[in-house]
Amino acid sequence: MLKLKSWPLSLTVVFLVLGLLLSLQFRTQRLLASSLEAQKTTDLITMWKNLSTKRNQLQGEIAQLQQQLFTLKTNSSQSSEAETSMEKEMARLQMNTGLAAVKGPGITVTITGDAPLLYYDLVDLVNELWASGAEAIAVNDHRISAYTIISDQQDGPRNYITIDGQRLLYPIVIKAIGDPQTLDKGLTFTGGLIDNLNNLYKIYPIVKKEQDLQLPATSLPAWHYAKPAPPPAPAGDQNGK
Amino acid sequence: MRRIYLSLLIISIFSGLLVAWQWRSHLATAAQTNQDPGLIDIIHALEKEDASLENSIADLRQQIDSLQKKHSQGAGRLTETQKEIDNLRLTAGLVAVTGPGITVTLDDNSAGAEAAQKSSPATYKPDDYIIHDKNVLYMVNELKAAGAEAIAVNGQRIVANSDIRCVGTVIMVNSTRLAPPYIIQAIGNPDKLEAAALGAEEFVFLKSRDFPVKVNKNDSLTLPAYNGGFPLDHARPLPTGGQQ
Repeated sequence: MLKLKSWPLSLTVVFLVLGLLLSLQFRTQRLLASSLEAQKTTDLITMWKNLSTKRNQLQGEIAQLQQQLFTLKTNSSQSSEAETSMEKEMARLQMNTGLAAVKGPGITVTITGDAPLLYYDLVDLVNELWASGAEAIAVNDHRISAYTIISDQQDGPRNYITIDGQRLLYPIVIKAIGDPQTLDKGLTFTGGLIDNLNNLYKIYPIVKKEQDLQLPATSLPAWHYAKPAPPPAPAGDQNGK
Repeated sequence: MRRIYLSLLIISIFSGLLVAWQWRSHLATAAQTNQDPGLIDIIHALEKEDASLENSIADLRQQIDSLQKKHSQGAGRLTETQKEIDNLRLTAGLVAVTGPGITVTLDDNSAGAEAAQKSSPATYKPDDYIIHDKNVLYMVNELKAAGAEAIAVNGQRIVANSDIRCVGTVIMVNSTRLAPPYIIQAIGNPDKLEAAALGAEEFVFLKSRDFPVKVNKNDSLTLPAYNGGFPLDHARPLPTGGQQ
């Protein structure tokens, strides 16, 4: 049945398959660990959720900005409405930056000093709260701004955590304003931050939902190096994204 | 004829080995293949949408800014308010800024990963050779502590409510997906920032593990504005009386 002539053909097929396999192998090896294709389905779903949340947030911001723009456009320069709109923006910015004291619902995270908490853990907790949609955060009575310094200092054999150079005393109470349910879930899900603190370091923060939290204001450092960048080149010169 | 059988045998063994190799590397790198390409498409679409929304936000903020300036010009009281808003926007990260500073580059240790894969594939852990979200988060924290006035990671400006986290092995800043190398730019006193970066635990650790990481001083950096939102659905201003 098999003629000698068909051998080259089958060999070709075999080598083709081999070549494909080899290239597939190298493709797999070279896949960047950070590429989407390298992620588990569950992680992709998380990413999808994060992106949707972000979209909603951005749409909210756009709606608010459009409102503001509309007010500015439809009112003459001397009108009180233009002024009110500016005052509103000012109030918002003061809350965002931590310059204004705020109140609202949210959660508290209480850490008693039974197990050593590192300042990295506190950085993680604050970061995780922002990631879970916190609108304002304070640790004990330090309002967290973009410029808050979380660090530590040595005191004999033990280190203690400092915020803006001031020693942080136990119990550490973190207050975060936002949707209590979402904030709580963001910290306490299985495999989440609190879970890790429990299992790895025997630290047991107590998370409590609150209806009325009050967070103090902070002051911001003066800048010595950064200046507003000159306005971007006219639209024609800009490369589209 | 015999020779052909022999070569076929060799080829079969070879391909068998290849398949085994492929399968093993598959397991080692966890879920390298993704069962759902549709999901990836959705993510790409959402990323595009979010990026265009951010563009609209930047655009709207610019329009508002110029209209406000027109309104408040020469209008006494409003000029003061305008000044305050300008300052607030600057500190909030809503304005692109320029100044001296440093650039910290953190990259995956691909060379190390390749070597380890070859020499000891059985114990090779991809996680040991990539930059993690904590590396970036703690580095940013040390730069803040060293007085950085503005920070950006791969063009994402760090603001008060910025978060740095990972989903799977992807690092996300401001919920935007980043890819290595991670370039952290910070404006401030270059000497102070450089010392802080070089002395940071993260940096020393990565360096000791042969990660390609470096710190450069810059005379002039320009960091982009933050084009995201500041959610404010629950927080209300707390009326502050004159007395305690």
